[in-house]
Amino acid sequence: MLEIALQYRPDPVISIIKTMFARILFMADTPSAKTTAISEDVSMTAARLMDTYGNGILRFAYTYVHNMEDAEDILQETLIQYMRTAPVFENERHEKAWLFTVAANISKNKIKSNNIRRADELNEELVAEKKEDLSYLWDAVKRLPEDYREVIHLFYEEDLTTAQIAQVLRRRESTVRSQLKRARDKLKEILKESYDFE
Amino acid sequence: MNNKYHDVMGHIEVSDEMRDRILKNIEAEQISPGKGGIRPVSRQNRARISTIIGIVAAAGILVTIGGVFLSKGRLNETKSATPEMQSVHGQYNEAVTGGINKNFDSVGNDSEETVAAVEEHEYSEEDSADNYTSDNYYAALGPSAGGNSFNDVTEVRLADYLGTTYTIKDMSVIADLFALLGSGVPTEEVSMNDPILVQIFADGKILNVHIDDNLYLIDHTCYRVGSVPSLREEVIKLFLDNGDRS
Repeated sequence: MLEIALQYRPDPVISIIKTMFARILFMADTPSAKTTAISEDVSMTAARLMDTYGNGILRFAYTYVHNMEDAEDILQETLIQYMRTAPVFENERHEKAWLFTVAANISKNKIKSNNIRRADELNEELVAEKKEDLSYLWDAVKRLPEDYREVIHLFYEEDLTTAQIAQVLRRRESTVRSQLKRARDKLKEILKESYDFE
Repeated sequence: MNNKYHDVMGHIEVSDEMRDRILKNIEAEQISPGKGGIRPVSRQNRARISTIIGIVAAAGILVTIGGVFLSKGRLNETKSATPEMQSVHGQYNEAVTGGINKNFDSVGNDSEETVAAVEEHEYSEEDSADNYTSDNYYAALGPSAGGNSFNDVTEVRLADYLGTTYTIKDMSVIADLFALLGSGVPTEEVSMNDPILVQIFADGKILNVHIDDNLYLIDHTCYRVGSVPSLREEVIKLFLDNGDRS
């Protein structure tokens, strides 16, 4: 408390100098990050990411926006973010968590900007194929709150552990566990127990 | 549930067309990079940049040190809307800092000056300056964050985090929060993906602070904190560990 109280209101001149100094410090870090980024061939990296995580990211994005075009945009933007920032990872699991976190953020931003389309190709396809049980389940999942939908998808589709989901969604593991339980309960409720949930 | 959900999601796949389309777009993005694109920096340029950085940094340090010395006289000066208010604040600051100096000067020596300085505070017209002893002179001046200093912080809140609001009224914990924010350096970087909202209740007002990763936005100015791996996580932890839930 004492140290905080001794701080003074900075002059505009000092603020400008501090800003300049901070910029200079950040500039010093930039070249090494960029040179690291270009060392890997861009096309090869993009293709590897697409083949390894493409389906997963596309499906995850679809659970937010419920249409193919927007999900595709999110997948593309996620991969571009990867290329731009060229992050360094400890292992593949870390890389996957990073990609899914970015995809989730981009999806939420897209929803916030209210710039999403209304079509739901998945539902149309399921109805066309007369897979009522799957269509019914997808409708129920769509009606879940976003927080619950995220954990349900990552747990059942991506087979992530609750610890990994917590890392992706930046939540506590205990929160993820309780959300997973509540999501299952909510799904049961939506399906009115007429469907073989388990 | 598990198998059925897999069956549902099995209908969503990256088609060959989509794959080609996205890869082409990414390649095009790299050829003509926009904001934040990746471009190599030549060794010559890097050497030049390093030299310039060295010179500017040295000059910056000198100017900063000079600025700190020059501004010493204005320590704890607060902005006031009117000349009258400035006068009141000036008198208040003078009384408080004067009191501190006199108390420190006269440690172990109960001179008349010391008694006079303390009495001056006890009868000050400024409300918040009433009844301060030498022990809490510092606390009376209040914490600061992002160029804003506060005289009377009553509580801080983490608003609507996963549907729950956390409130902290314990001053020692609030001090920890300000210690984190106080180390911020102004930056023009304002890109935030998933910010949390912290509200500071001080001086009868509420000030919103948006925090994401290591950035925080306060009063239209963004600050970067480098003292912790993630400011956002540190602040959330502080509230989750110490806050009252509502």
